[in-house]
Amino acid sequence: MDYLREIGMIYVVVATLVIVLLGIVAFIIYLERRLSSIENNMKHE
Amino acid sequence: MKIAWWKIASIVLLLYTIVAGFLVPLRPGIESSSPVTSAAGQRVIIDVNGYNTHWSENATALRAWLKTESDLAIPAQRIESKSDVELALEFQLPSQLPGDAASTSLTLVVDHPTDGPSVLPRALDVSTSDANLQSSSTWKSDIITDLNFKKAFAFPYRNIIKETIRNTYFHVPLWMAMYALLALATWYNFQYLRRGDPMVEEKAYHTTLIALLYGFLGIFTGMIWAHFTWGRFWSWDIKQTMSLMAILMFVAYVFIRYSIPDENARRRFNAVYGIFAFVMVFPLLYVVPRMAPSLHPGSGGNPAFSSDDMDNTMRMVFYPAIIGYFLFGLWLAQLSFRLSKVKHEFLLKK
Repeated sequence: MDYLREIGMIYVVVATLVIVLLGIVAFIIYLERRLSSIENNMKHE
Repeated sequence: MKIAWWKIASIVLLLYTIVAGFLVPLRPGIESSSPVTSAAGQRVIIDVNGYNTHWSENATALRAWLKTESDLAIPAQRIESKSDVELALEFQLPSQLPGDAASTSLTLVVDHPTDGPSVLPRALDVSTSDANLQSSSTWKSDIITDLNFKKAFAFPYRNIIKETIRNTYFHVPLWMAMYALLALATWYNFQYLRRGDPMVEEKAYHTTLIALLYGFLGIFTGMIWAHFTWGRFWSWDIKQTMSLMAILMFVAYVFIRYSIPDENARRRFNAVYGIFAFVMVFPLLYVVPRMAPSLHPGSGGNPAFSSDDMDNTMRMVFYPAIIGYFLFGLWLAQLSFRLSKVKHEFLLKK
Protein backbone atom coordinates (compact mmCIF):
# COMPACT_ATOMS: atom_id res chain seq x y z
CA MET A 1 0.00 0.00 0.00
CA ASP A 2 2.81 2.42 0.87
CA TYR A 3 4.56 1.41 -2.34
CA LEU A 4 1.50 2.62 -4.30
CA ARG A 5 1.69 5.95 -2.52
CA GLU A 6 5.39 6.29 -3.38
CA ILE A 7 4.93 6.01 -7.14
CA GLY A 8 2.30 8.72 -7.31
CA MET A 9 -0.67 6.33 -6.87
CA ILE A 10 -1.25 5.76 -10.57
CA TYR A 11 -2.48 2.22 -9.79
CA VAL A 12 -5.39 3.70 -7.85
CA VAL A 13 -6.61 5.05 -11.19
CA VAL A 14 -6.02 1.65 -12.83
CA ALA A 15 -8.02 -0.02 -10.04
CA THR A 16 -10.86 2.48 -10.57
CA LEU A 17 -10.99 1.75 -14.30
CA VAL A 18 -10.87 -2.03 -13.69
CA ILE A 19 -13.84 -1.76 -11.29
CA VAL A 20 -15.87 0.16 -13.88
CA LEU A 21 -15.06 -2.42 -16.59
CA LEU A 22 -15.93 -5.32 -14.24
CA GLY A 23 -19.27 -3.65 -13.50
CA ILE A 24 -20.05 -3.37 -17.20
CA VAL A 25 -18.99 -7.01 -17.77
CA ALA A 26 -21.24 -8.09 -14.89
CA PHE A 27 -24.17 -6.36 -16.61
CA ILE A 28 -23.34 -8.04 -19.93
CA ILE A 29 -23.36 -11.43 -18.17
CA TYR A 30 -26.79 -10.54 -16.74
CA LEU A 31 -28.03 -9.71 -20.27
CA GLU A 32 -26.54 -12.97 -21.57
CA ARG A 33 -28.42 -15.01 -18.98
CA ARG A 34 -31.73 -13.29 -19.74
CA LEU A 35 -31.21 -13.87 -23.46
CA SER A 36 -30.46 -17.57 -22.84
CA SER A 37 -33.69 -17.98 -20.89
CA ILE A 38 -35.69 -16.36 -23.68
CA GLU A 39 -34.02 -18.63 -26.26
CA ASN A 40 -34.85 -21.69 -24.15
CA ASN A 41 -38.47 -20.57 -23.90
CA MET A 42 -38.70 -20.25 -27.67
CA LYS A 43 -37.19 -23.71 -28.23
CA HIS A 44 -39.67 -25.46 -25.95
CA GLU A 45 -42.70 -23.88 -27.55
CA MET B 1 -26.69 -4.37 -39.38
CA LYS B 2 -26.37 -0.66 -38.85
CA ILE B 3 -25.08 0.71 -35.57
CA ALA B 4 -26.51 4.06 -34.48
CA TRP B 5 -24.07 6.98 -34.55
CA TRP B 6 -24.38 7.71 -30.84
CA LYS B 7 -23.32 4.18 -29.93
CA ILE B 8 -20.14 4.60 -31.96
CA ALA B 9 -19.73 8.06 -30.41
CA SER B 10 -19.91 6.57 -26.91
CA ILE B 11 -17.07 4.14 -27.68
CA VAL B 12 -14.96 6.87 -29.31
CA LEU B 13 -15.48 9.19 -26.35
CA LEU B 14 -14.68 6.48 -23.80
CA LEU B 15 -11.51 5.46 -25.66
CA TYR B 16 -10.49 9.12 -25.83
CA THR B 17 -11.13 9.43 -22.09
CA ILE B 18 -8.98 6.41 -21.25
CA VAL B 19 -6.10 7.35 -23.57
CA ALA B 20 -6.00 11.07 -22.71
CA GLY B 21 -6.84 10.45 -19.05
CA PHE B 22 -3.86 8.14 -18.62
CA LEU B 23 -1.27 9.58 -20.99
CA VAL B 24 -1.38 13.33 -20.37
CA PRO B 25 1.41 13.99 -17.83
CA LEU B 26 1.07 15.67 -14.47
CA ARG B 27 2.63 19.10 -14.02
CA PRO B 28 5.81 19.26 -11.93
CA GLY B 29 5.14 19.86 -8.24
CA ILE B 30 6.68 19.86 -4.79
CA GLU B 31 5.91 16.62 -3.00
CA SER B 32 7.31 17.37 0.47
CA SER B 33 9.93 19.29 2.38
CA SER B 34 11.74 18.94 5.70
CA PRO B 35 12.14 20.25 8.36
CA VAL B 36 8.59 21.52 8.83
CA THR B 37 9.18 23.78 11.84
CA SER B 38 11.73 26.46 12.67
CA ALA B 39 12.16 29.60 14.75
CA ALA B 40 12.45 33.23 13.71
CA GLY B 41 15.97 34.51 13.19
CA GLN B 42 17.40 31.08 12.44
CA ARG B 43 19.29 29.82 9.44
CA VAL B 44 17.43 26.83 8.04
CA ILE B 45 18.30 24.31 5.32
CA ILE B 46 15.21 22.82 3.75
CA ASP B 47 15.38 19.53 1.82
CA VAL B 48 12.74 19.52 -0.92
CA ASN B 49 11.36 16.54 -2.84
CA GLY B 50 9.87 17.17 -6.27
CA TYR B 51 7.53 15.22 -8.50
CA ASN B 52 8.11 15.23 -12.31
CA THR B 53 10.61 18.06 -11.80
CA HIS B 54 13.86 18.64 -13.74
CA TRP B 55 15.90 20.45 -11.12
CA SER B 56 19.32 19.24 -12.30
CA GLU B 57 18.84 20.86 -15.71
CA ASN B 58 19.51 24.58 -15.73
CA ALA B 59 20.08 24.51 -11.97
CA THR B 60 21.57 28.01 -11.91
CA ALA B 61 18.27 29.47 -13.06
CA LEU B 62 16.43 27.96 -10.08
CA ARG B 63 14.88 30.43 -7.67
CA ALA B 64 13.05 29.79 -4.41
CA TRP B 65 11.17 31.80 -1.80
CA LEU B 66 9.31 31.37 1.45
CA LYS B 67 6.23 33.55 1.56
CA THR B 68 3.55 34.50 4.05
CA GLU B 69 -0.17 34.69 3.40
CA SER B 70 0.13 38.45 2.89
CA ASP B 71 2.73 37.90 0.12
CA LEU B 72 5.73 39.04 2.13
CA ALA B 73 8.68 36.86 1.20
CA ILE B 74 12.33 36.01 1.68
CA PRO B 75 14.52 34.55 -1.06
CA ALA B 76 16.66 31.41 -0.71
CA GLN B 77 20.28 32.42 -0.19
CA ARG B 78 21.76 29.20 -1.47
CA ILE B 79 20.17 26.64 -3.82
CA GLU B 80 21.75 23.25 -4.39
CA SER B 81 20.09 20.77 -6.72
CA LYS B 82 21.12 17.22 -5.81
CA SER B 83 19.11 15.52 -8.54
CA ASP B 84 16.08 16.13 -10.75
CA VAL B 85 13.79 15.67 -7.76
CA GLU B 86 15.96 16.71 -4.80
CA LEU B 87 16.83 20.21 -3.74
CA ALA B 88 18.49 21.80 -0.69
CA LEU B 89 17.49 25.40 0.04
CA GLU B 90 19.14 27.65 2.61
CA PHE B 91 17.08 30.45 4.13
CA GLN B 92 17.95 33.08 6.70
CA LEU B 93 14.71 33.73 8.57
CA PRO B 94 14.12 37.32 9.77
CA SER B 95 14.14 37.85 13.54
CA GLN B 96 10.59 39.23 13.55
CA LEU B 97 7.50 37.70 12.01
CA PRO B 98 5.27 40.03 9.95
CA GLY B 99 2.89 41.99 12.15
CA ASP B 100 4.81 40.73 15.23
CA ALA B 101 2.82 37.50 15.13
CA ALA B 102 3.81 34.69 17.53
CA SER B 103 3.84 32.10 14.76
CA THR B 104 3.12 31.84 11.07
CA SER B 105 2.92 29.28 8.31
CA LEU B 106 5.14 29.83 5.26
CA THR B 107 4.51 28.68 1.72
CA LEU B 108 7.42 27.40 -0.36
CA VAL B 109 7.67 28.61 -3.96
CA VAL B 110 10.23 27.18 -6.40
CA ASP B 111 10.58 28.58 -9.91
CA HIS B 112 12.36 26.74 -12.74
CA PRO B 113 12.70 27.82 -16.40
CA THR B 114 11.19 24.63 -17.89
CA ASP B 115 9.04 23.36 -14.99
CA GLY B 116 7.48 26.71 -14.17
CA PRO B 117 6.56 27.71 -10.62
CA SER B 118 5.70 25.01 -8.05
CA VAL B 119 4.10 25.72 -4.71
CA LEU B 120 3.97 23.82 -1.43
CA PRO B 121 1.49 25.47 0.97
CA ARG B 122 2.30 25.44 4.70
CA ALA B 123 5.81 24.09 4.08
CA LEU B 124 7.39 25.63 7.19
CA ASP B 125 5.84 26.68 10.52
CA VAL B 126 7.87 29.45 12.12
CA SER B 127 7.49 30.61 15.72
CA THR B 128 9.22 33.49 17.48
CA SER B 129 12.11 32.39 19.68
CA ASP B 130 12.97 33.65 23.15
CA ALA B 131 16.65 33.84 22.18
CA ASN B 132 15.86 36.94 20.10
CA LEU B 133 18.44 36.15 17.43
CA GLN B 134 19.68 38.99 15.30
CA SER B 135 19.19 38.48 11.61
CA SER B 136 20.23 40.50 8.60
CA SER B 137 17.24 39.28 6.61
CA THR B 138 13.92 41.15 6.41
CA TRP B 139 10.52 40.48 4.84
CA LYS B 140 10.09 42.04 1.43
CA SER B 141 7.11 42.45 -0.78
CA ASP B 142 7.15 42.13 -4.57
CA ILE B 143 10.29 40.00 -4.80
CA ILE B 144 8.53 37.00 -6.35
CA THR B 145 8.56 38.30 -9.92
CA ASP B 146 8.99 37.01 -13.48
CA LEU B 147 7.74 33.51 -12.73
CA ASN B 148 8.18 31.15 -15.69
CA PHE B 149 4.51 30.33 -16.23
CA LYS B 150 4.24 27.62 -18.88
CA LYS B 151 1.31 26.73 -21.05
CA ALA B 152 1.81 22.97 -20.94
CA PHE B 153 -0.71 20.29 -21.89
CA ALA B 154 -0.67 18.69 -18.46
CA PHE B 155 -2.95 18.05 -15.52
CA PRO B 156 -2.38 20.05 -12.32
CA TYR B 157 -0.27 18.57 -9.52
CA ARG B 158 -2.06 18.49 -6.18
CA ASN B 159 -0.54 17.28 -2.95
CA ILE B 160 -2.00 14.09 -1.42
CA ILE B 161 -4.08 13.15 -4.49
CA LYS B 162 -1.19 13.27 -7.02
CA GLU B 163 -1.85 10.94 -10.00
CA THR B 164 -5.30 10.05 -8.70
CA ILE B 165 -6.49 13.42 -10.02
CA ARG B 166 -7.09 11.30 -13.15
CA ASN B 167 -9.96 9.62 -11.29
CA THR B 168 -11.90 12.77 -12.16
CA TYR B 169 -12.44 11.14 -15.58
CA PHE B 170 -13.41 7.69 -14.30
CA HIS B 171 -15.22 8.23 -11.00
CA VAL B 172 -16.95 11.62 -11.24
CA PRO B 173 -18.63 11.10 -14.68
CA LEU B 174 -20.30 7.96 -13.30
CA TRP B 175 -22.36 10.24 -11.03
CA MET B 176 -23.06 12.80 -13.74
CA ALA B 177 -24.17 10.06 -16.15
CA MET B 178 -26.23 8.43 -13.40
CA TYR B 179 -28.04 11.70 -12.83
CA ALA B 180 -28.69 12.19 -16.56
CA LEU B 181 -29.99 8.61 -16.92
CA LEU B 182 -32.31 9.08 -13.94
CA ALA B 183 -33.62 12.32 -15.46
CA LEU B 184 -34.38 10.44 -18.69
CA ALA B 185 -36.07 7.63 -16.74
CA THR B 186 -38.21 10.23 -14.96
CA TRP B 187 -39.29 11.65 -18.30
CA TYR B 188 -40.31 8.13 -19.42
CA ASN B 189 -42.18 7.66 -16.13
CA PHE B 190 -44.16 10.86 -16.76
CA GLN B 191 -44.95 9.74 -20.30
CA TYR B 192 -46.19 6.41 -18.97
CA LEU B 193 -48.44 8.03 -16.37
CA ARG B 194 -49.90 10.34 -19.04
CA ARG B 195 -50.36 7.88 -21.91
CA GLY B 196 -50.30 4.45 -20.22
CA ASP B 197 -48.05 2.65 -22.72
CA PRO B 198 -46.44 -0.17 -20.67
CA MET B 199 -43.37 -0.29 -22.96
CA VAL B 200 -42.52 3.30 -22.04
CA GLU B 201 -42.52 2.32 -18.39
CA GLU B 202 -40.33 -0.64 -19.32
CA LYS B 203 -37.85 1.82 -20.85
CA ALA B 204 -37.86 3.83 -17.61
CA TYR B 205 -37.11 0.68 -15.62
CA HIS B 206 -34.12 -0.37 -17.72
CA THR B 207 -32.70 3.16 -17.77
CA THR B 208 -32.97 3.26 -13.97
CA LEU B 209 -31.24 -0.12 -13.81
CA ILE B 210 -28.16 1.27 -15.60
CA ALA B 211 -28.24 4.39 -13.41
CA LEU B 212 -28.21 2.06 -10.39
CA LEU B 213 -25.25 0.15 -11.84
CA TYR B 214 -23.38 3.44 -12.30
CA GLY B 215 -24.28 4.44 -8.75
CA PHE B 216 -22.83 1.25 -7.29
CA LEU B 217 -19.69 1.62 -9.42
CA GLY B 218 -19.46 5.23 -8.23
CA ILE B 219 -19.60 4.10 -4.60
CA PHE B 220 -16.96 1.38 -5.09
CA THR B 221 -14.55 3.53 -7.13
CA GLY B 222 -15.05 6.32 -4.60
CA MET B 223 -14.13 3.92 -1.77
CA ILE B 224 -10.87 2.98 -3.51
CA TRP B 225 -10.04 6.65 -4.05
CA ALA B 226 -10.97 7.47 -0.44
CA HIS B 227 -8.72 4.72 0.89
CA PHE B 228 -5.63 6.29 -0.64
CA THR B 229 -6.44 9.95 -0.09
CA TRP B 230 -8.65 10.11 3.00
CA GLY B 231 -7.09 7.04 4.66
CA ARG B 232 -10.16 4.82 4.85
CA PHE B 233 -12.46 2.97 2.45
CA TRP B 234 -15.56 4.09 4.31
CA SER B 235 -15.55 6.91 6.84
CA TRP B 236 -19.29 7.79 6.99
CA ASP B 237 -18.40 11.09 5.36
CA ILE B 238 -21.60 13.02 4.63
CA LYS B 239 -21.09 12.68 0.87
CA GLN B 240 -20.54 8.92 1.12
CA THR B 241 -23.51 8.44 3.43
CA MET B 242 -25.92 10.52 1.33
CA SER B 243 -24.77 8.80 -1.90
CA LEU B 244 -25.45 5.43 -0.29
CA MET B 245 -28.95 6.61 0.69
CA ALA B 246 -29.63 7.76 -2.88
CA ILE B 247 -28.51 4.38 -4.23
CA LEU B 248 -30.59 2.45 -1.69
CA MET B 249 -33.72 4.34 -2.78
CA PHE B 250 -33.30 2.85 -6.23
CA VAL B 251 -32.49 -0.59 -4.83
CA ALA B 252 -35.97 -0.31 -3.25
CA TYR B 253 -37.33 0.65 -6.70
CA VAL B 254 -36.04 -2.64 -8.12
CA PHE B 255 -37.40 -4.62 -5.15
CA ILE B 256 -40.87 -3.10 -5.67
CA ARG B 257 -40.83 -4.42 -9.23
CA TYR B 258 -40.43 -7.98 -8.02
CA SER B 259 -42.95 -7.77 -5.19
CA ILE B 260 -46.20 -6.61 -6.88
CA PRO B 261 -47.72 -9.43 -8.99
CA ASP B 262 -50.33 -7.38 -10.90
CA GLU B 263 -48.65 -5.81 -13.93
CA ASN B 264 -50.59 -2.54 -14.13
CA ALA B 265 -50.42 -1.89 -10.39
CA ARG B 266 -46.70 -2.65 -10.42
CA ARG B 267 -45.95 -0.31 -13.32
CA ARG B 268 -47.98 2.57 -11.88
CA PHE B 269 -46.49 2.18 -8.41
CA ASN B 270 -42.97 1.92 -9.87
CA ALA B 271 -43.43 5.00 -12.06
CA VAL B 272 -44.71 7.17 -9.21
CA TYR B 273 -42.05 5.91 -6.80
CA GLY B 274 -39.34 6.51 -9.44
CA ILE B 275 -40.41 10.14 -9.91
CA PHE B 276 -40.38 10.86 -6.18
CA ALA B 277 -37.05 9.07 -5.72
CA PHE B 278 -35.53 11.16 -8.53
CA VAL B 279 -36.71 14.35 -6.85
CA MET B 280 -34.78 13.28 -3.73
CA VAL B 281 -31.50 12.58 -5.58
CA PHE B 282 -30.53 16.23 -6.05
CA PRO B 283 -30.88 17.19 -2.37
CA LEU B 284 -29.07 14.02 -1.26
CA LEU B 285 -26.10 14.36 -3.60
CA TYR B 286 -25.73 18.11 -3.99
CA VAL B 287 -27.53 19.99 -1.21
CA VAL B 288 -27.15 18.10 2.08
CA PRO B 289 -23.38 17.37 1.68
CA ARG B 290 -22.73 21.10 1.26
CA MET B 291 -24.34 21.91 4.58
CA ALA B 292 -21.86 19.90 6.62
CA PRO B 293 -18.07 19.61 6.72
CA SER B 294 -16.86 16.91 4.36
CA LEU B 295 -13.62 15.59 2.92
CA HIS B 296 -15.16 15.43 -0.55
CA PRO B 297 -14.60 18.35 -2.96
CA GLY B 298 -17.72 20.35 -3.62
CA SER B 299 -18.72 20.40 0.04
CA GLY B 300 -18.96 23.08 2.67
CA GLY B 301 -20.34 25.50 0.10
CA ASN B 302 -17.74 25.35 -2.67
CA PRO B 303 -18.62 23.69 -5.95
CA ALA B 304 -16.12 21.09 -7.17
CA PHE B 305 -15.85 22.83 -10.53
CA SER B 306 -13.82 25.70 -9.14
CA SER B 307 -10.31 26.42 -10.38
CA ASP B 308 -8.86 24.61 -7.35
CA ASP B 309 -10.26 21.30 -8.52
CA MET B 310 -10.11 21.59 -12.27
CA ASP B 311 -8.42 23.53 -15.05
CA ASN B 312 -9.10 23.83 -18.77
CA THR B 313 -6.86 20.88 -19.68
CA MET B 314 -8.90 18.68 -17.36
CA ARG B 315 -12.17 19.96 -18.77
CA MET B 316 -11.05 18.78 -22.22
CA VAL B 317 -11.17 15.22 -20.90
CA PHE B 318 -13.85 15.56 -18.21
CA TYR B 319 -16.79 16.77 -20.34
CA PRO B 320 -16.28 14.18 -23.14
CA ALA B 321 -16.04 11.55 -20.41
CA ILE B 322 -19.49 12.51 -19.06
CA ILE B 323 -21.07 12.31 -22.53
CA GLY B 324 -19.27 9.01 -23.23
CA TYR B 325 -20.46 7.39 -20.00
CA PHE B 326 -24.00 8.66 -20.58
CA LEU B 327 -24.28 7.42 -24.17
CA PHE B 328 -22.74 4.07 -23.25
CA GLY B 329 -25.23 3.73 -20.40
CA LEU B 330 -28.01 4.52 -22.85
CA TRP B 331 -26.76 1.73 -25.09
CA LEU B 332 -26.73 -0.80 -22.23
CA ALA B 333 -30.22 0.34 -21.17
CA GLN B 334 -31.50 -0.04 -24.72
CA LEU B 335 -30.12 -3.60 -25.03
CA SER B 336 -31.68 -4.51 -21.71
CA PHE B 337 -35.03 -2.99 -22.76
CA ARG B 338 -35.05 -4.71 -26.15
CA LEU B 339 -34.51 -8.10 -24.48
CA SER B 340 -37.53 -7.50 -22.27
CA LYS B 341 -39.56 -6.32 -25.24
CA VAL B 342 -38.77 -9.48 -27.25
CA LYS B 343 -39.76 -11.61 -24.27
CA HIS B 344 -42.97 -9.59 -23.81
CA GLU B 345 -43.96 -9.96 -27.48
CA PHE B 346 -43.17 -13.66 -27.44
CA LEU B 347 -45.35 -14.23 -24.36
CA LEU B 348 -48.20 -12.23 -26.00
CA LYS B 349 -48.06 -14.45 -29.11
CA LYS B 350 -48.32 -17.56 -26.97
